Amino acid sequence: MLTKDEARIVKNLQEKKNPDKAFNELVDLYKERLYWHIRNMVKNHEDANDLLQNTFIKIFRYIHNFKGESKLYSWMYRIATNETITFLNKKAKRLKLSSQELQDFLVNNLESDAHFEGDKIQLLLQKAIATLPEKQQQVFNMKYFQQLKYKEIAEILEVSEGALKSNYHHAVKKVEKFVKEHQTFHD
Amino acid sequence: MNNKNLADKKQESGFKTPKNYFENFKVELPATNTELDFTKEKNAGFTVPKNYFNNFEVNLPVEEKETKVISLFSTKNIFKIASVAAVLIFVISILNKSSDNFITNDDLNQAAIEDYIDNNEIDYNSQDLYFTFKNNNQIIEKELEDINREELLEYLTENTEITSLLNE
Repeated sequence: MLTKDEARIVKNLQEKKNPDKAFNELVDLYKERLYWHIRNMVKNHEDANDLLQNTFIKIFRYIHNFKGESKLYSWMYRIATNETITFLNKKAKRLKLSSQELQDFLVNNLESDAHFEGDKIQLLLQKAIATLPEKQQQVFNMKYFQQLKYKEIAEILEVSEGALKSNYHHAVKKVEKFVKEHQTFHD
Repeated sequence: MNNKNLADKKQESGFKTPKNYFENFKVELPATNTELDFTKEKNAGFTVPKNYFNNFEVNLPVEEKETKVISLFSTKNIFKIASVAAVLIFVISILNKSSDNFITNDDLNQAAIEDYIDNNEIDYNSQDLYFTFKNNNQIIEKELEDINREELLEYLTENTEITSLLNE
């Protein structure tokens, strides 16, 4: 289940053998993957950075609960996903927006975001993703941008591969339709 | 079979390749499982501040020290509890007399309280609560130490209602 390095890091963290060093190794191994996973969901860098911090803090706190029954990355991705969803729900509540309105709000902010350098098509793609239901957004981001395998996504989201493939298929169709309609309109 | 012969045979078959095809030929391997292609992220248009990942470090919160567990039912604590109960009953009796000036439970329901907390963004964490109660406990303990035990026992004996309440 775990790679040799992961097994060593987890063992050191759980048995508190030089945990700081082990934790730093874990951070180095996964910071980029988890960052992009979170960033695709929250869209802006500042929120992604805060959530990445919180995710790693939770990983450090709860590593003793990790029994090695699932892969380490899927366990960590799950923590990051839950942390991010909770954050987005709170943000929607604070701004008194529905979850769909929040998605529109996040995407509309991209145009003035210093850390977004996408062109018209990339912005349109983000707008299309924002129209998808939450689960389809997650699947689309993980498959399309992070290029995770269906098996890996299924483990992270704890759903069957079949349901996942169908979810991704629907998401792609919707995104394509949206892009086609709006691209013609804008051009 | 040498290269010259091979080349001759291909010419004979009549098949051709585009100009410089073999010179420019390269295999584009798909991203492997262990090394994900993060450059693809750039296609989403998102960027990060310069050296963000190089400088990234997690600021772990300071670990909370384990608190000592003190048995609730020691003789010392029974006196403390009794005196706190006496104080509480005294305060409640005062509050009851002037309850008209206060908001009653009927005025506040659970939903209203939750709504207030949500809308006013009351933020707290377990660490805040831990420190708040730790400080309050220290103050109460100091006050209790000042109470004369004999006077307290005498008071409790005379006030049977309180002792029966404590026995419940």
